[in-house]
Amino acid sequence: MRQQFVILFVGIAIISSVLSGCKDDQVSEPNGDGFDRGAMLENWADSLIIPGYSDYVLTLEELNQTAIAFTTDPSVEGLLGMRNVFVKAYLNWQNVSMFEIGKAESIGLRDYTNTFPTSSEDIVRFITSGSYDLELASTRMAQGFPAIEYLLYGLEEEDEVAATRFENGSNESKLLVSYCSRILDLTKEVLNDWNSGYRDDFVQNNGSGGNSSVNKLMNDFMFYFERSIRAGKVGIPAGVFSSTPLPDKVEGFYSRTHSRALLLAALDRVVRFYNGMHHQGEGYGPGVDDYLNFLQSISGAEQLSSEINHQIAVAVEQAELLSEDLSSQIVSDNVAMLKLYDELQKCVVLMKVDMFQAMNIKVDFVDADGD
Amino acid sequence: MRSSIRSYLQTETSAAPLAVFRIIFGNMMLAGMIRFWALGWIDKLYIQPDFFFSYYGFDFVKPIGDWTYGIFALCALSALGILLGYRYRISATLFFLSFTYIELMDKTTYLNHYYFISLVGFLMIFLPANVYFSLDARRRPEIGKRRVPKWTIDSIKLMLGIVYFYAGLAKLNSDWLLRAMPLAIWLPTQDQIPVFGALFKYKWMHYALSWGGAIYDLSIPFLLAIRRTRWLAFALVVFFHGLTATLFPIGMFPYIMILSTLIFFSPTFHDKILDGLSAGLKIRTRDLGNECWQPRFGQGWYTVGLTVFFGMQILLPFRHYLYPGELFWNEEGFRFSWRVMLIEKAGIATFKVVDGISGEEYTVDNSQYLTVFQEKQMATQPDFVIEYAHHLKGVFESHGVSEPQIFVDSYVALNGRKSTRYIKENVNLCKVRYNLKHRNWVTEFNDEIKGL
Repeated sequence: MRQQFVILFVGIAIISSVLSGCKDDQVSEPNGDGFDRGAMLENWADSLIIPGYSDYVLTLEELNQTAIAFTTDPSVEGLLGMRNVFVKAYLNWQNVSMFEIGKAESIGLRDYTNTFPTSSEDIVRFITSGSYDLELASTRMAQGFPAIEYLLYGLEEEDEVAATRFENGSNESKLLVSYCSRILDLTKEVLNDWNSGYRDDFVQNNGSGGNSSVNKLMNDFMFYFERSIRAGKVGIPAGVFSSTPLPDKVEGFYSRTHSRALLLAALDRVVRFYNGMHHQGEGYGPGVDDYLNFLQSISGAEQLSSEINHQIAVAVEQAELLSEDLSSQIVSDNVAMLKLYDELQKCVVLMKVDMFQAMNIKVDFVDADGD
Repeated sequence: MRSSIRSYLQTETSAAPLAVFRIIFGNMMLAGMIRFWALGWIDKLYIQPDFFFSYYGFDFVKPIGDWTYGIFALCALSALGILLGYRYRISATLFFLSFTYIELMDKTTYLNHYYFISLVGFLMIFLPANVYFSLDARRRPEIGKRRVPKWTIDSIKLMLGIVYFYAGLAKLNSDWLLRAMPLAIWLPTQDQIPVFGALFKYKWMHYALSWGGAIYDLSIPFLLAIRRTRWLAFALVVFFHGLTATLFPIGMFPYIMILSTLIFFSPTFHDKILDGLSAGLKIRTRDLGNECWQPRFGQGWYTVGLTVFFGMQILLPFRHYLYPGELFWNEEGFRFSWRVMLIEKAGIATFKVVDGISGEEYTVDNSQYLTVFQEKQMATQPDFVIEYAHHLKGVFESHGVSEPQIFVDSYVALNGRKSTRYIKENVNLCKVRYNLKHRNWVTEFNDEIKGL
């Protein structure tokens, strides 16, 4: 028995000495610095996500004040002013939509803010009855930006007539104010959470396991890119998933002129997130591209990061060729829209297959055992 | 030769190692079932999905709605029966049947170690694991035996040896040894593992663990079998399985293997374990004399049965030689071959349904029909692609699409190579049959992986 224990301990001693001896070699290796995932998370949180939400909340406050002012004293000028602020807020929403993590995820911010096409029947019912509960999950398709848009652009053909619908005390005016304050309240809840502790949790959860911030946010990002951008903004209205095109399913359908701008704003945010760029301007910190470069320099795999940037740029170029109203683009020349879908699909392949493999990202919700 | 076989078959040994193995096996299986249930995986994997992927020839094995819980309960109860040695033959038979049924319900969840458990479960039915330290031996004193034929214990050792050795053989390929793939992908992000984490960014570490893993798998059965190296081997078993348990989400497998390898230790060692158990649980034991258990239907049937069983185990992993093309890409003969944690494969498959009459086209949203897990598995394995395509055919026919044609736009990345098209673009999958023949509708792998 004693002899066996001696062998056991000698074995362990050999293993541990080999391992500790290896530690001293660090200097001679390339990439000896490693990659600081925490710094990437910090960059995303402090320079992209929180500033994005802060700006967005400011425009939502403006939207609320404008709505109150407009419904107190409705006029055509007031309606046009309201529409301007609405578009600004809707564009700002595209800056934060992809970050459905933490509070935003638990309250379902994206579904309450931007489910489209909106249900005009439900909205009309809300107006007629004057009663509604926007906290019910079933009302998600009759609130948020698409519902506000319907009120501002879709109720009447003539602006003069439309403005009169919002007379002080009317159900339309009350609903408009409720819609605006609902988005503001939800978003404030999310921003407050980032500012009161969640930011540190997010940054400190800097591991690489299934529940790490990087793994979760990359999955959220991919889900957003596939579902909201590729399918929601482009594929579904272009008829990719149906037998015929569905031009009335575009984002920003009632305002007619903003669907392309909303799409481009969303794609711009994708580029910023991927490259670690800041909320505004050209500044940047560590991003997905740097992490990819680091990992692929170790594994010796073909470099991906610039190819992904290139493919996103190709998609953006194709989007810029489209009419500013995507629904009229679909009606007049859907081929260009389908081409955009194909370019976005190429992005999905590069990111979801190659990038996820290189980054060893575990696909969402798959917590079964592997072997 | 014949006489040496005969004398081997008649060699006797203590029944203690087999009894300890029975207790460990029953215990781990019971724990495994409880864990599976508690994690909500029965619901998630077998109740929630609308569609299940079948093994070829087993498409009649499906979850049975809420009754599926009953199969798991049966499996857990029979594991308890094995643990206690209570109505052991029936328990072991029910365990094998229920566990194997569960594994056959959806091949999405295929794991080598589930296959391993099915095989050991099958073997256990025929082994006299209840003649010692069991409720059966207490209930029916006449079956209690102190000794069993040596081959009964050796057959479990052989099964374990095959698992390790074949897992080692599978690693003898150019991706594993010369590119350190897929460890070069899996390890660098694991920088927070104690002690080793900081080393995982170095390429030499990936090579060290790739080569170390291959040498470990190939040599461990022998190191365990030889008395002088047994403790060293067990230390290595604990070390390697401990490391993989930390690194990868592989559930109970490392612990099952660590405890199973105890069977290689001497009868004295197992007597000590049983003495400890008796003292700890205040179990009274009685003297069983020195009689040896004898096969009921004679030695001949057992010899034939074991030869066939192990002959299959030895041959089956090589069946991929019957197919042309790259095994890791085509996955023809990949499963049931101890290719454990061997490749990193990711893919995406987008299906297009074309109405054969009107020409209308639809792109399929996979999430409507498959879970995330199923979609992930489906995208990289051709037999899944074809089963899913045939399922879609039925779904779209019932939605009024006439003479549907189904095409798939799919890309797969293997071991860090750039993704390339996986299934040939213009193949109407409705016309392709699901069988075990070579699948020429899969693209050819555009690289070469040398190896066994």
